[in-house]
Amino acid sequence: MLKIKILVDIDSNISINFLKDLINHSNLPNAFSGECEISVSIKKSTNYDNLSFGYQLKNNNIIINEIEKPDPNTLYIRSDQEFIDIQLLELLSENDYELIFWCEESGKKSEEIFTFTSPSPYPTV
Amino acid sequence: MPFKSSKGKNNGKLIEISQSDRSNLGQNIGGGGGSAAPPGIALISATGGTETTVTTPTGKYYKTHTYLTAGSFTFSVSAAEPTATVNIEMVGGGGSGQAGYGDGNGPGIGGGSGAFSIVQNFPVINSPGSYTVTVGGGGGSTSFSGATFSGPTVTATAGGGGVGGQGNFSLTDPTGLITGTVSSGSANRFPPGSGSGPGPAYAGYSDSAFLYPTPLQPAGKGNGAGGGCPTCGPPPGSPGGMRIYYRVPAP
Repeated sequence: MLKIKILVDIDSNISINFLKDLINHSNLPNAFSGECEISVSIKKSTNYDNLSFGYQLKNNNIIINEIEKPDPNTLYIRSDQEFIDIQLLELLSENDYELIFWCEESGKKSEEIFTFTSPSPYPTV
Repeated sequence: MPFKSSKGKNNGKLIEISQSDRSNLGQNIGGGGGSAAPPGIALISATGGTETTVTTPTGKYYKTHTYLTAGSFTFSVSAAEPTATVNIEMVGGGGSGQAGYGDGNGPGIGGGSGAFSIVQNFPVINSPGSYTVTVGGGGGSTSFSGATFSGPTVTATAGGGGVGGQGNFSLTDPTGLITGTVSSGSANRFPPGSGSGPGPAYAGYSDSAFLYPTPLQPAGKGNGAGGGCPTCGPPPGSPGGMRIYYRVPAP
C-alpha cells in the first residue's frame, strides 16, 4: 500500500505552502491504485472572513479531481483544529500529477501549483 | 444495535424560561448575533473544532463543530437552555493493514474501519459546560484508536478498527438523559486483502445513516493490506473524526 501525504499550509497572509511526505509504500499489484491524502492546514486562530479554498488535481493535463470548500450554503466561522479539511484521493503509481490549490479570504486570493510524481512500487525503487 | 430510551424524558424541564429570556440568549448564539430561536429549538452557544454555519435547502439553520485532527479537544458550552441537545456523529480511527506474512509476499490483510456511530439528542449543559472530544489516530497493526465524546454525565465511544478487526460502539448513560435514538454502525469486517484493498470508508456507513448531508470523509478509513515488503509495514489508517451539530436561529 502506498500513501502520500500532502500538507497544504495556509498562513495568516493567505500564502500557500506545500509539504510532501511519503509515508510508506510496499509491494503493489500491477493494477495498483495508491492513495494521496491532502490535508489542509490553516494557521489562523481568529475568525474567518468568507474563507474558501479548493484545488484541481491533474494527471496528464486531465482534471481527475476537483473540490471547493466550504460546501454550498456553508460558512466557516473559526477553527482550533490542525487540519480544517482532509481529502483522500486515488493515485496511480509512477504518474506525474499537478495539484493547483487556491485559497481566498477577505477578498485576498492566492494560488499555487505543486507537481509531483507518485512513487514506484516496492521493490523497484 | 439501535435502541431507543424514553427514560428521563422530563429531566430537562427543570427551569422555565420566558420568551424574552430566549431572545436575549439568542443574541449570542448561532455564530453571531442571531435572533431568538423558533419554538422547539433549545438555544446553545458553544465553541470548539472547525465551526461552520449551514443553511439547509428547507431553510433550517445549523451550527457544526467538526474535529478531524487526532487528539484531545474541548467542546465548550457557554450557554444552553435546559432542554438543549446536540447530535453527534463519530468515527473511530481506521486500522492499519497488515504486511504480508512469510517472506512478505503472502497476502496481507486490509485494515478495519473505525466504527461509525450517531447519537441524537445528546443533552448538553453549560455548568460545567466543558466536554472532551477525543479523536483517535489511525491505528497501527494491532491498536485500536476510537473516538470519544465525554461530558459531565454521558460518554459515547466509537471504537477504532484494528488490523482485520472490527470497530465497536458503546454509550455510557448512567443518568438516562439520552431521550433520542442512538444508532451504531456495527463495524464491517472487511474481506482479507491480497496485497491490496483497504477497508470501507466507515464501518456501518450508509447514506441513510447520516443525519447531516455530507459525510465525515475520510475519517476512519481503514488502510490497505501490505504484502511483499518484509521490512516496511503498511501505513496506519486514517484518523477518526467527530461532528457535533444543532439547530440555531436564523442569522
